[in-house]
Amino acid sequence: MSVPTEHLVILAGILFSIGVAGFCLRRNLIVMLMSVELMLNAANLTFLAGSRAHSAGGEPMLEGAVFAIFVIVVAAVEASVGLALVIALYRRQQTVSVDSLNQLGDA
Amino acid sequence: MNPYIEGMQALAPELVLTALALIVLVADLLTKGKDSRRMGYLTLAGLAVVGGMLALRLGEPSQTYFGMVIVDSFGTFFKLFTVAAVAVVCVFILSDKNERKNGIGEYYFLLLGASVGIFFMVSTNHLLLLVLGLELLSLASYALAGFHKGQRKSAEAAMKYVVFGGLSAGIMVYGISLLYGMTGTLDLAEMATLAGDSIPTGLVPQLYLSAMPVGVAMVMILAGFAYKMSVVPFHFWTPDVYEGSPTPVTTFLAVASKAAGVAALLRFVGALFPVDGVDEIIMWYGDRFGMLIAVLAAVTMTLGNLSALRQQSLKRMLAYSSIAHAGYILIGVATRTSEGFDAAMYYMTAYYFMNLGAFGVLLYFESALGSDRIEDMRGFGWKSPLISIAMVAFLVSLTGLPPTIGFYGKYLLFKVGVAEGLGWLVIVAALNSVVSLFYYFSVAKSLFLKESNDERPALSQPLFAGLLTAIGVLTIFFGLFPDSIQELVEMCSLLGS
Amino acid sequence: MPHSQWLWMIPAMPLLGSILCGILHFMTLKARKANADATGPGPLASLVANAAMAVSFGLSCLAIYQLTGMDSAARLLESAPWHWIETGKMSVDVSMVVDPLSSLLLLVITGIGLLIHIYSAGYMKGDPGFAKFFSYLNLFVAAMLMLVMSSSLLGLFIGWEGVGLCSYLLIGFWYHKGWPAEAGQKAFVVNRIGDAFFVIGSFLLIQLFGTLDLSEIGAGVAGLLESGEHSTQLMLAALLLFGGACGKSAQMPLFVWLPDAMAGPTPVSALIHAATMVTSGVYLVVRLNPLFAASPGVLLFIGVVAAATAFIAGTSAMAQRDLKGVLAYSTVSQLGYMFLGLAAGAWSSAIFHLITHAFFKALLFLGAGSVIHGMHEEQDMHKMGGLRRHMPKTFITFLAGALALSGFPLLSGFISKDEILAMNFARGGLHYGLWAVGVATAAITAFYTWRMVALTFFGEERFDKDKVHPHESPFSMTLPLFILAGLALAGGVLGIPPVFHATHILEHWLEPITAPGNAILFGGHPPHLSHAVEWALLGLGTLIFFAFAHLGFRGLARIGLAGSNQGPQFDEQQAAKRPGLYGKLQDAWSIDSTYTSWIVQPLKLFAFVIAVVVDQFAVDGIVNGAAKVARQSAERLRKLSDGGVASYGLWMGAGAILLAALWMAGGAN
Repeated sequence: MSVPTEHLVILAGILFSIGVAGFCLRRNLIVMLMSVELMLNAANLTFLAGSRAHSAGGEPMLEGAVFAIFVIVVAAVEASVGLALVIALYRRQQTVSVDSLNQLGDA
Repeated sequence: MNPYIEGMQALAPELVLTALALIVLVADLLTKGKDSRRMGYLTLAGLAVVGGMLALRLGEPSQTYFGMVIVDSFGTFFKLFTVAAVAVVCVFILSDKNERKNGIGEYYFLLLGASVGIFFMVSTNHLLLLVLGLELLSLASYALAGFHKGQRKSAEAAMKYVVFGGLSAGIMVYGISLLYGMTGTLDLAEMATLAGDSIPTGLVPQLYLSAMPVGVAMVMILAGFAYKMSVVPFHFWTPDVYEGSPTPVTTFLAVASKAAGVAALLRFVGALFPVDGVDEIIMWYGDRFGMLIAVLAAVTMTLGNLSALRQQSLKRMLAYSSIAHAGYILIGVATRTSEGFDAAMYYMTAYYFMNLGAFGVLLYFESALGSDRIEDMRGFGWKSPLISIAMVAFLVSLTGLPPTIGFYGKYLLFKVGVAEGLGWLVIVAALNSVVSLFYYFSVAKSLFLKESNDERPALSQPLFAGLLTAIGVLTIFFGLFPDSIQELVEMCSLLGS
Repeated sequence: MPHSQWLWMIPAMPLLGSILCGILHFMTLKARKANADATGPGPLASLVANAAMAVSFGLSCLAIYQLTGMDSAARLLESAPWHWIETGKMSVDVSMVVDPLSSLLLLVITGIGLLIHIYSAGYMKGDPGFAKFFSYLNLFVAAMLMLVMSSSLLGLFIGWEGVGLCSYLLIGFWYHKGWPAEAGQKAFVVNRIGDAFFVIGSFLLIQLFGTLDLSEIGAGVAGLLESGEHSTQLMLAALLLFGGACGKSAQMPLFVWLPDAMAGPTPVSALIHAATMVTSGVYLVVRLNPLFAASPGVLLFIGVVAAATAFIAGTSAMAQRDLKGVLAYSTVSQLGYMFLGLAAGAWSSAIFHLITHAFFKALLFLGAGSVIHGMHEEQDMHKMGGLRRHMPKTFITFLAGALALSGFPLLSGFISKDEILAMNFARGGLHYGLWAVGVATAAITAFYTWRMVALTFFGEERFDKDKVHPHESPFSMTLPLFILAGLALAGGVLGIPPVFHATHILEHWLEPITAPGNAILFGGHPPHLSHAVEWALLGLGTLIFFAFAHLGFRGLARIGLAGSNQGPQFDEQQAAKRPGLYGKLQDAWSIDSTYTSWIVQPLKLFAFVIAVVVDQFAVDGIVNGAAKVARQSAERLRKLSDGGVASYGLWMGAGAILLAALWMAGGAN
C-alpha cells in the first residue's frame, strides 16, 4: 500500500505555490531564497513521483530520481552563493531586506 | 572503439576548456594573484586552442554520446562564437584600467566555467544536461556580476541576479518535473516520438489526453529560457544586473549568456514542435506555441525599445536594447521552420558583432570619462575618431540599416516572418526599428554633433582600439558580403534544409 | 551586352574624395590641437573634392556620349551586378545602370555638383570645418549617384538613406549655433516618416513581384494589370512609395522640414535642398512610372497634394522676409509643380522641370549665398536694398535666375512650366482644376520672385553703411553663377514647345523610359493640344508673367499700397492691417505650428504618460492594488514593496499565467 501518485503531485503543487507566494510576498532575502528551495523541492517530489509512476509497468525508470539528486546539488550550490551574497549585504548595510537593493533602477 | 573513449574524444573541447579553467584557478592560487595579466594571456591562448579544435569540427555529422551530449555543427556554431566572445571579454578585462585593479585570476576562471556551462547547454536535447549546463552558467554569472564586491552596485546586481535566477530556475525545473511526470522521459527527441500505451508516455498521447497541464509545464520551461534571453516579462533583472555588473561581465551576459539561451530554446522548439510535425495535434499545439513566442516577441521588442528611449546611461540603454533584440530573434523562433531558425542564427551572429563592439566602446568611454552617461560623451567623437566611427557602425547595425550585418540579419528575419504568415509581427518589428533609431542615433549625435566641454584627453590603447575597429570593419564587411556567414549558418542549420 | 564596369567609378570617386577629406579633417584637428592657430592640411580638401567631382562629371559625360551612339531603344549601360543577397527564390543584385533617365540626372548631379563644389571653395573659406564640409558634400554626391544609378530598389534605398543622412549632417553643420542642429533633427524625423512608407511600399513590391529590380518591377506591372489581380496592392504600393517621395521631396504634409533646412550653409541649400536630393521623389515616380500609371486614382491624389503644396508654399513665399526663406518656399512650390506634371502623366515634363529648376534654383541660391556673404551673414531682405550697385555680377546672374523662375517667355522655367500646365489642360476633367491652381501659382511665383529682387537689389540701401560694406564675391564664386545663368536662360532648348515645330529633345530622349507608363495610362501616346490652344496657353503664361512680375516689382508702389520704397513698408502695412493672415502666411499657413500643437506636444505627453503613468501608476498601481486585495483576503500577507524586487516576481508570475491562458485560449481540439 503506497501513497497514490496524485497525492504526491498535488502536494508538490502546493509546495510550489507556497514557494512562489513566499517569494513574491516576503521581503527578507533569506526567506526568498528559502522559497526558491521550496520550489526546487516541489520539483524533486514531482520527479520522484513521476519516476515511480513510470516504473510501475516493468523496468524501473530512474531518470527522474537521478534528476532529483542533481537538483539537490544545484539547490545547495545556489543557496551557498545566495547566502554568501546576503552575508556581504548584511555586513555592509546591516539588513537583509530586499528593499535595500535600491541603488539600481530607472530613475 | 570503446564508446567511452570515443565520447571523451568527441568532448575534447569541453574537456580542454574545463582543464584550462582549473589550470587558471590553480596557477592563480600559486602565484597568489600577483600576476593576473599572465592568467589573461594563458586564457586567451587556451581559448585559441579550443577555438581551433571547434573550427575543425564544423560540418561533421551529428552524433550523440552518452545518450545525452549531441555533437553537431549547430552546437559547434554557438560554441565557436562563445569562445570568440569570451576571448573578446578577456581582452576587455586586460585593457581596462579599473579591471586591472580588481582583475584577479578568478575572473578568468569564472568566465571559463560559465563557458563550460554554455558548451553543455547548447549541445544537448536532454533536459537534465540542459539544466546542469544552465545552472553552471548561472552560478558563474552570479559570482561574475558581483565581482567588484567592494562596490555597492555590483553587489546589488549580483544579489538581484541570484534572487531572480533562483526563481526562474525553480519555475523551470518544476516545469520540467511536470513534463517528465506526464511524458516519462527527459530526452526531447524521445518525448516527441514516443507513443506509449497504458500510461501516457510521450508528448502526443499526453496532448490528446489533456493539453492544459502540458501547457502549464511548457510555459514554465519557456520562462526559464525567456529569463536567460531576457524576454519580457522575465527581463526585470536585465537592466539592473547589466548596469551594476562590471562592464566586461555585462558584455559576457549580454552576448554569450543570451546566445546560449537562444540556442537552447531553438533546440527545445525544434525537437518538440517542428513545423512538419508527424502528428496533427503537434501541428495544432505547435502553432499555438509559435503564437505564444510571437506574442512574447512583439511585447519584448516594444517594451525594450520604449524603455531604452528614455535612458541617459549608455549602459542601461544597451541593456534595454539587448532586450529588444531578443524580441527580434524570437521572430525566427516563432516561425518554427528551418529558414526561421537559420535567420535567428544569422541574427545572433550579427548580435555578437554589434554588441561586443558597442559594449567595448562603452567600456572605453567608462575608462576615459569615468561615466556612462550619453550626455557626457558630447563631442568625444572628434577626440577618439576611430573608436567613435566604429561605434557609429555598431549603432547603424543595431538599428538595422544597411550596409551592415544587422541590416542583413533583420532582413532575413523579416523575410521569413512574412513568408510564414507573421506579417503583423514583422510590422511591429519594423515600427520598433524606427523607434530604436532615435535612441541609437542620440548616441551618435552626442559623439559627433555636439560641442565638448570636457578637457579630458582620449585614452591611448592601441590593442583595444584595434580590436574594436576590427569588429567595426567586420560589422560592415559582413553587411556588404553576407554570403560567408550565410553559408556558415546553413552548414550549421539545426533542422537541416 | 558587355558590362561597363567603370560605371562603379562614378559614385566611387566622390566616396573616395569623402574619405580623403575626412582624413584631412582629422589631420587638421590634430594640427590644431598641437597649435591652436595652425591651419593644418584642411584647405587641401577643396582640391580633393573638386577633383573627385570633375572625374565623376567627366565619366558621366562619357556615359552619355556612349548612349548617344546607341540605337534609341537599346540605350543602356550596365555594370556587372554585385550579388548582394542570394537566398532561395529571391536574389538581390545591385548593378550600376545608365539609361536615358539616369544619364540626365547624372549630368545634373555631377555638373551642378561640380559648380557648387567650386563655389563652396570660396564660400566656406576659413571655416574651421572646411575639410569636414567637403567630406560630407562628397559623400552626399556619392549617395545621390547611388540613388539614381542603382538598378535595384535596394541600392536606391541605400542612396535614399545616405542622402538623408548627409542632408542631416549638412543642415546641422553649424550645430554650435543651436537652431541648425534642431533643424537637422526635424528634417531627419520628418524624413523618417516618409521612409517608413517607402519601406513598407518596397515590401509590398517584393511580395507582388518577387524582385527589387526596378526594370523588372516596371515590366511586371503590365502583366499584373492584364491578369486583373492585385490591383489594390498595386495601388497601395504606389500610394506608399508616393508617401516616401512626399518626405524626401517636401510635399504636403511633410514639407515642413525644407524651409528649416535652410539653416545649413548656402551651397548645401543649393545642391541638396534645391537641385538634387529633394527631386529624388520625382525621380522615383518617373522610374516606376508604369506602377503609378496603373493606378489613376493615386495619380489624381498626387495631383491634389501637389497642387496644394505648390499653392500653399507659393503664398508663404510671398510673406517671407528672409532671402533664403523665399527661395525655400519657392522650392517647395516648384517641387509641387513637378508632381503636378507627374499627376497628369507628363513624365518627361516633370523631369524637364526638374532639370531647369535645378539650373535656376541652384543659381538663385548661390546668388543669395553671394549676397549673404557680401552682407556679412545678413539674410533679412528688409535690411538690404540697392545691392545692384555693390555686387553687379551677382545682380546680373540673379536676375537671370529670377527671370527663369518667374517664367519670362521662352526662358527655361517658362517652357517647362508651360509644358506641365498644358499637359494638365489637355487631360481635362478634374485636371482643369489642377491647371487652374497651377496658373494661380505661376502668378504668385512671378509676384514673390520680383518682390525678392526688388527688396534685395533695388530701392534704398537699408543697411547700416558704417558697419556693413557689401562687396562682390571672389571669382571662384561668381564663375559658377555665370555658367548657371547661361544654363538657366538657355535650358529651354531641351524641350521646345511643339508649336515651334522643333524636336522636343528631352521627350525624345526619355521615350524608352516613359513608353510603358504612357502605354498603360493613355494606351499609347499622351494627348496633344491643338496649336491654337497651345498658343493661347503660352500667351496666358506671358501675360501672367508681366502682370504679376510688375506687381511684385514696382506695381505695389504705383497703386499706392506703399510709399516710395518698395517692400518693407508694404510688408509692415500688410502685417498691421491683417496680422492674422500675414502671420499665417509667414508660418506657411501655420502647418508647422499645427504639427507642434497636435502631434509633437501630444507625443511628448504620450512619452510622459508612458514614463510616469504607466510606470509609476499602472505598474506600481496594479501591484499595489493586488497587494490590497491580498491583504483583505489573507490577514498575514505582507504589504508589497512598491516597484521593487517583489513586484517583479509578481509580474513574471502574471506573465506566465497569461501565457498559459494563451496556450489554452480557443480551446483544445
